[in-house]
Amino acid sequence: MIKVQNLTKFYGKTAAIDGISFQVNKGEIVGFLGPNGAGKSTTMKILTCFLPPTSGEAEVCGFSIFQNSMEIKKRIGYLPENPPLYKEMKVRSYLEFVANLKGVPFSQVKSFTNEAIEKCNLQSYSEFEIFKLSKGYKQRVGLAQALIHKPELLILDEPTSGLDPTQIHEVRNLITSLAGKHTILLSTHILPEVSMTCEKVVIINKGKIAACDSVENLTRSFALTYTLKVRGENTEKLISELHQIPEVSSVDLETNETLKIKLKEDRETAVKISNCAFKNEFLLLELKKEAASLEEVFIKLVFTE
Amino acid sequence: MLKNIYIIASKEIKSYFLLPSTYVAIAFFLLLSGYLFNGLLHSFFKTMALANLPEYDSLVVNINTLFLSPFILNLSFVASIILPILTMGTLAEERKLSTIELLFTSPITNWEIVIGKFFAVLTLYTFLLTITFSYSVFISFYGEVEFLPVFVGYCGLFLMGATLISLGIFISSTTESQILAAIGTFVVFFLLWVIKSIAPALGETWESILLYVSVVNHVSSFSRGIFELRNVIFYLSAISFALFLTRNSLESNKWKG
Ligand SMILES: Nc1ncnc2c1ncn2[C@@H]1O[C@H](COP(=O)(O)OP(=O)(O)OP(=O)(O)O)[C@@H](O)[C@H]1O
Ligand SMILES: [Mg+2]
Repeated sequence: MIKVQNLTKFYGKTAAIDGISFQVNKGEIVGFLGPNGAGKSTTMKILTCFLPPTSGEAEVCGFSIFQNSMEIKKRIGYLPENPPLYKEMKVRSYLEFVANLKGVPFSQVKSFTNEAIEKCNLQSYSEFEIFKLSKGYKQRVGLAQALIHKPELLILDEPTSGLDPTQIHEVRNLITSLAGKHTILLSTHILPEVSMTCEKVVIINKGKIAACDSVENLTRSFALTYTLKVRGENTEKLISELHQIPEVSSVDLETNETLKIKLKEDRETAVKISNCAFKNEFLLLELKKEAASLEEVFIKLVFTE
Repeated sequence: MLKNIYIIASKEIKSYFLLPSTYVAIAFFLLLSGYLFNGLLHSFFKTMALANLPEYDSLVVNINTLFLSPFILNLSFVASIILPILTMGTLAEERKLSTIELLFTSPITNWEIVIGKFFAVLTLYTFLLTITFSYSVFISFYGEVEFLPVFVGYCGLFLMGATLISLGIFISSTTESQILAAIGTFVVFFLLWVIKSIAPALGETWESILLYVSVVNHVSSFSRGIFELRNVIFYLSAISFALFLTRNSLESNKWKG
């Protein structure tokens, strides 16, 4: 659905994104993660054909952003960072306008609008002028305009920003309910959101892709490291015995008391590690499993280098 | 193509009636044109009274030349005062509120956006002209009115207004602030009038150049009921050029920050 190759965007002399490549397949819900200024919005603006990239290629819905932007625009729904709302209009007439704009046939505009209003729980506000709505409800109108024409691909830039916890919960449910029917790329810096709604994450940092994998793979691959703090005599021997444990793939001595143990897989290996330390008459100071949550993966990828 | 232009234009027209500035512009237009109409009416009645005196026996009072063509000229002036208010937000607001991001990521072309906006303002302007046209119907109760020259005059007003509108929309596309757009447009329209009035003092060549460039000048011959193809061509090419510039301004990257 989305194929990005070597995409680069310069604002003046600074690169907002720098040679990024990733792929989103049909039907996936993909979380686009990154700290402030990482280049998430910039990438999304390029994918929606709003901004031209400086170099690189991107294919969206099977069309090139350079040659066939009109075809792409027909097939995507986009919620920008600031929802594009005509504040003086009423919610319903605004949504009808967007439906028309997106090429929904005249005869279906009303029913599509009603569906979007229902999906985003805007029923009691449909005759309100948009400027009278709270920030969270404006965000919902923004969501409604993105999905009104039932696009193949939804690109949502921080869909839950400005919402209260119950609304966040509802929007997440909404997004998960759209799964299967639509492909979704959503950006956020709220990590639990990604673990809850997305199957796949693309982590971007300073304009570069730091990781691109399923949530499961990422957290697993990052959860396979133990830090072992021990005090004892023969560290050499301990290391070689640790290597005997079948799951262990590598053991590194970080300081003379700290060992970093990487595993291929974890089958209550912690017990084996601690047993190994006892057997060699080491005093066990600490045994810690590293990076077990997406948060840790994220922080590790983004803030350590 | 036409469908998208219609979608943009009709939304725009609906939005117009939700904005206070529109009502200010309409009120101002009606008040000022009514005031000028009234002034002309007074002098017209005075002339009529004179014409009825025996010593002016041979004087034929022509409503068209004496009343309607100056009124049409007055209207062209009123139009250039209120049109900046109607065009100021057309594109500047889209950019400021980032609603342009919606338009640019929807399956419509920049031409359709520009032309849709243009027709929206033009429709509103035509509506205002139609109201003032009823004044001429009113005056026809007081004497013989030739409607063909009046109609030609209104064609001129329409074309001149359309040109000013396209210019105003272009100026609105160059800034994010509708206030700046309004001031800029106002200044440009004002200069067009200044050029028209100082041109005769600058010698023959300058005079003809400046009068040609001054958009508001070409309406004069229309107002006298003279339909000249070269004036029509002037207006149509000016409109196309301004719309073309606007569309190019949309294509440029400054919109996409
Ligand atoms: N119009 C612009 N002109 C110049 N630099 C820009 C512009 N827009 C973005 N940038 C820069 O590009 C980089 C990426 O910005 P971008 O908005 O894509 O980040 P982001 O990941 O969406 O951040 P956030 O989480 O804060 O929304 C930033 O360093 C930003 O300063
Ligand atoms: Mg952003």
